[in-house]
Amino acid sequence: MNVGRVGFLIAALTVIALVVVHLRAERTRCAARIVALESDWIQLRRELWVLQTRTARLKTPQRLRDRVVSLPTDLAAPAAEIESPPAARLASDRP
Amino acid sequence: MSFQTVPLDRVQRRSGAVLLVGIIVLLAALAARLAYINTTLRPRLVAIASKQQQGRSVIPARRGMIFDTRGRVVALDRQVPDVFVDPALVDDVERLAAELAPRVNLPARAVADRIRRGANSRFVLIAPGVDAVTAEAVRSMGNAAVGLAERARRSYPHAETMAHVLGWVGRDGHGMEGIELAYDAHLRGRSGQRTMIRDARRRALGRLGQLPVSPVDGGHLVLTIDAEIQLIAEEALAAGVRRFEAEGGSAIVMSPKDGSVLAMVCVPTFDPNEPVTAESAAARRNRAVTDPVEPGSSFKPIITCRALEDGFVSTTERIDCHMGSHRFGRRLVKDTSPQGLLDIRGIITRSSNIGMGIIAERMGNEVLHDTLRRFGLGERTGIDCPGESSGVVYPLHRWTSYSPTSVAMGYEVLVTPLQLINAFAAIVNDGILMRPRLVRELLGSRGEVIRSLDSPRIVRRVVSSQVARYVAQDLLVSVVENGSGRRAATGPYQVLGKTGTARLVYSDRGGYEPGAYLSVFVGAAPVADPQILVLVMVRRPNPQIGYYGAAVAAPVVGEIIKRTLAYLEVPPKAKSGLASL
Repeated sequence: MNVGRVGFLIAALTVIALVVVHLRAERTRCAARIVALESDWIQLRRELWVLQTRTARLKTPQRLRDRVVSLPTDLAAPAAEIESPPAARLASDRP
Repeated sequence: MSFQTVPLDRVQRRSGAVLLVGIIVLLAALAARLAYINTTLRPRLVAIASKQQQGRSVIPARRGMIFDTRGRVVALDRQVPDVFVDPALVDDVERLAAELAPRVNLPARAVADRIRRGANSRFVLIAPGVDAVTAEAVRSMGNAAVGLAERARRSYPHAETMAHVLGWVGRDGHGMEGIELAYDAHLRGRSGQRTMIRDARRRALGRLGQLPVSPVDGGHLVLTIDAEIQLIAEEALAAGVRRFEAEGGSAIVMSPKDGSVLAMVCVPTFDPNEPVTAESAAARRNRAVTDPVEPGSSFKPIITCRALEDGFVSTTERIDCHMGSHRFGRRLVKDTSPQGLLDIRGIITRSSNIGMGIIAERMGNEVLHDTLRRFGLGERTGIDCPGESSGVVYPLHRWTSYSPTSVAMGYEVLVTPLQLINAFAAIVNDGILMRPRLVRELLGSRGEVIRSLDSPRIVRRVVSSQVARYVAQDLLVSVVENGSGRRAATGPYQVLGKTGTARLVYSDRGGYEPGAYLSVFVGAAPVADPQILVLVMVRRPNPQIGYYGAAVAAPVVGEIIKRTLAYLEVPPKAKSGLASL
């Protein structure tokens, strides 16, 4: 075995070692990325739940009624105490 | 450079041999120890290593949402963080407690005590369900020993309004009462989990080879309840209870045509977000389905239906009501307003106990008992609500000669508010008894319909449609227009209904309690085509202010009918003609 062959063998082994190291590093990076994405998914899921809870609270009849009263509009709050129902008013408004 | 070999002497050779043997023995011992570690100790050491390096992270499943009939969300899950400490990573308990305590608003001593008590555990709960600000404050500590664990928590956006219908969910995620309990298996999901490799500071480095167990979210429910009508009923009932300084009350709004319950309210109520803050355990009970009561005169139309159906009385017959005082055997029965001759319309309109007693005596025990059974009394209605009482209808052999008079006046029989309104619904619904229901649809976790419960379920016909219409559209209209139910006619709609006032028994012994009354009114509107049926029961109003069903419960029913029909955009119509037999 001459020096050239030994050198080629060492170079080949070095390349293989580097590839293995690179692949392992890539695998670790991917695993970390997967964990990060899963964490993001869990975080987004959590935020979605929070937003849905907030929306549900804002849409409760009581909250809507409070908003109608607090805002300067001419709207009647749903099922507020009114003398005649909306349908009757609409009917009387027809030409 | 050259080396010369020098012959070893005997001592040197022996020392060399001893050293060699020693090294061999040492290596053999090491090999044996290695073998021991790799065989006998291996399972324990692997377990310790994986405990140190691996961490399981639970991905909470979402319990299904509950919607009202118009798609409003009335119950849903949100995630809340629990603050915990890993005692194995704590260097100085006192210092950590001093740093953590102000962030979670707890005394440092309490935090330190908790950590010490759980010294052998890796998870010591310090503050459950903290808000986002607290969570961020804890996170900013950057202490590896302190962590945040996510947990699903049930949230009820409508708070007190639907408490008794929905029930609540315990810390373990299981339904404890109401719909949450009845449909627990459908609503509950299955939590997922993933296993992570962590560094010494318990930061996630990567996931282990196996895929995580994905969470399976629970299915959703659509109720027949309408949150707006529920709020109307709750406001009206609470106002009535306050006005008459009553102990409490129940109200039910129902669609008589299909048995859908549109609202079911109990006062006092509680916040299902914090059920432990309820005044008492009784305040958490859905009395509308669990507590049977003697319904008083509101029961009379049920008896009247059968009496007319089987010819025990005719619409034209006039019965002597003995000017308000009459003996049935040894029992003296009195009317609140003395009357002479009354036909059946007059008896119902004036709510004459004597008139009804005379009719009931003609019917006899067997027919009366059969009537109660036919109207579904003495058995559960089958509504999807846990803890429903079947009420009490005594077996026929326990009835006495006084029973007909008692039953005709709404005594000696115990019915739940739901049973009473359901029996009334049969009268309003042309004589057909329906099964009441609270749930309209079962949805999957992605919103697909799994099971529709929307079709009405008929139980049986309890009275002919002709008699039912006469009782509803003549007798019960007359009660509101000329009799005791006038205060229910507060809006632009024509209302039918019946009042009732019953005495209440002592809660801890027999006998009626002086001054303790149950005020009842059941009413429906509009008369020509009843869209809603409303029952209100007010328990123990202050008799100094008022206690008759006509004074206490009827105005509440009137208010609920007026506002609900306006909300449903039901136009007021001309008064219907009276039905005739």
